Amino acid sequence: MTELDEAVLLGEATDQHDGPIDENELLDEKVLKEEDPDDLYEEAIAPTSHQEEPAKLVDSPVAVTAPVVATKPAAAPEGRKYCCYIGNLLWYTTDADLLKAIASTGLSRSQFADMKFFENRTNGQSKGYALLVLNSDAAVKQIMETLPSKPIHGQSPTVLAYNKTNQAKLEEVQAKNQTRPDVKKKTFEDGCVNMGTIRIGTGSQGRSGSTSTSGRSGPPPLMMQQVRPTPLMSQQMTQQVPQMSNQIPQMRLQINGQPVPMVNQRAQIPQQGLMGTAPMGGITQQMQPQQPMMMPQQTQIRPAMMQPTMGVQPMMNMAAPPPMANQFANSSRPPQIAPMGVGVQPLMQMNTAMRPPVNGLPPVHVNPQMQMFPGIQGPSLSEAEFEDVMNRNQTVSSSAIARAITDASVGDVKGASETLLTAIALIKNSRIGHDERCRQLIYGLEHTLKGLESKGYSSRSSKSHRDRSRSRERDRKRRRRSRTRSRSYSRSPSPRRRRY
Amino acid sequence: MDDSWPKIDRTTIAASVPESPMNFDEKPPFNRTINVYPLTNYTFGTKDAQAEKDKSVPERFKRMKDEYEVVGMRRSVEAVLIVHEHSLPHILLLQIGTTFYKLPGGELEIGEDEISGVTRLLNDTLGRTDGESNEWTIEDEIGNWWRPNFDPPRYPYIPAHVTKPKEHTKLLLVQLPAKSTFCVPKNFKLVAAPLFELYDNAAAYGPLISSLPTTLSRFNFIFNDSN
Repeated sequence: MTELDEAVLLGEATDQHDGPIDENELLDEKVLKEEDPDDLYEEAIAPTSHQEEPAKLVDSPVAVTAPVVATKPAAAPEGRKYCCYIGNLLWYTTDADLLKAIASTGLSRSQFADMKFFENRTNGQSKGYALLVLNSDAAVKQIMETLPSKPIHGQSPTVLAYNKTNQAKLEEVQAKNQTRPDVKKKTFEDGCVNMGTIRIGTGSQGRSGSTSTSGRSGPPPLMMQQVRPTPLMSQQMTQQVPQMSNQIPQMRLQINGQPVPMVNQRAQIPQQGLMGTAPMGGITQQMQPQQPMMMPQQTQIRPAMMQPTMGVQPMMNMAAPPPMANQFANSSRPPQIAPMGVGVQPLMQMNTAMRPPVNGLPPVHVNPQMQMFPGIQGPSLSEAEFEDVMNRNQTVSSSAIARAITDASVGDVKGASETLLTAIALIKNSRIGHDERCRQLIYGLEHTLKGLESKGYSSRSSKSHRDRSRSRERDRKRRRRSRTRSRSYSRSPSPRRRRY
Repeated sequence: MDDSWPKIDRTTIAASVPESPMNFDEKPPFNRTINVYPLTNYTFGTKDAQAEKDKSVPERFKRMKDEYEVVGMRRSVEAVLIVHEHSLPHILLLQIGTTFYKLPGGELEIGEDEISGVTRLLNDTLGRTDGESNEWTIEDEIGNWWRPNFDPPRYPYIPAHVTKPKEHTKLLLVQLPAKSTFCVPKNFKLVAAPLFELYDNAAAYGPLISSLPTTLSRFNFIFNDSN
């Protein structure tokens, strides 16, 4: 049960992506996730008139902070919260560990309001840093001075001031240490349902009539209608009604006849960006300057890692280069879909801090924060900036593709094209528009654009007859090869629905 | 105001299903066999809509948090009811809205054990309304999922840094009688989803439901005919 599904259930459907597109909007899609440092920051600092639950500090309606102490945190009469980040935690450092360390600093219990670990949403793993909410500025200062001398599992916690830069740093560090991509954004369009699902006709509509009328009156038993409730879809539906009513109960639905994988792509592309499954070409280029600075000892094994990977995945270049591509390489972890049989990779991929260093590499979860920060703050600042812009570009690219496909799927090819063109322009004009990875992004966008146009996406026949549910896996693979060539399915089972 | 910190001895959880009684002795059968019957053996009626307890997702987590501070971790159960069509197991799911599916189940009362809880919840949700009672045979505990925070993600384990999960959901396999009648609240639709539809389809059904085909593969399902 995904959260978006729940949101839909409770009438909080996602936004419809209307209106003109701009970079901010595209970027917002990325930012509007679990924890938005901006909102968090403002909420926490701004004095509030009434006493506010720590939960309110987190912007997302559902990402509520978790009090670790079951008892209500001591009241902060002034209602003002003071936060700091605690970093350099191991992935297995528990909330209780941290609480114990905090208690051992002599901080008064009444100064403690809340804390929240940042987690990889995909698997729940700790990102190795937490937000600590305290009731006074003095308490924050006290923690900053005292907590670093209270090692947890042999590591000194770092206390960082509560601001965006620090959170970005922590996020960057953790990204190198995660074994799994943090797919925060769940696109419910990705949801592809009801292949063969038998609807048991008892719901409110289910009662009303015999099978022959039910197709006409409102939601016919067809599940696919619910998947993509677009105007065109329903149009298509009505056209199918006569056919349907004749064939009940053994109906074959045309949606499966001509699956168009673009729909699925749209949902997956944003994730793709985050997942770091991808193009090898860009990685190697980017890597060279960073590598010696960040983790010199890794340079020597990298070729061994990269080469097989590259050999196996040449087709992946279509996808946007992942923001974390460098980080994956830096942390000596293969990209997510790297083949397992390659030399040292399987070992390094293991998610255990117990494992001794392999080839002089730190185990995956030795928190490299300490060694990382100097690099980030020092001469590599421009690198960080580059990454920042690159990440923005990637977000722009993947969001634009996702959105274009959304638009195209409801017939708005023009809007889709504009979206893509806007994104191309944005990336081209960015400070690093000349970079190879950006060129790849642009290439991908242009390819999508061509695909949309050549496909005649606006014609109804290709629009509505689309298999969304069985093509998940194959689409993902195929997309890397080509966005436009994936038309025919050898296997496209037709759903069979039956009413009872 | 009490200004002392709670005493923390152990900073990690002691078992993967912490609140479960330990049971080292009982040796379960090496494999288990479950009877399943065709969907056509069951009849389905409707009954009045059953509103969700919470009006919105934020309210839902707000209530979870409020209750957590009073009674601790929420315990819930979800029931896996299986029928077959063409000798393929199908799982009964409640569909709400257009894209949301859930297993029948819900929150346990304080102190309520899982079996009576799931029986109560199944009677509430799917039980017949004609005065007859339904027969639910709780066969097996087939999974445990945890919610580490007051937000949507749930995992089939407690992440290593978490000592105080906020919700524990137990999945229970329920054997249905050969024939029966169910009454479905009008705000739900009941669907029978084939395993192939759920398999590897977390995008549509979420990680829990989409993992059921894997979870259930250890059972030997006997596909009974309609007679």
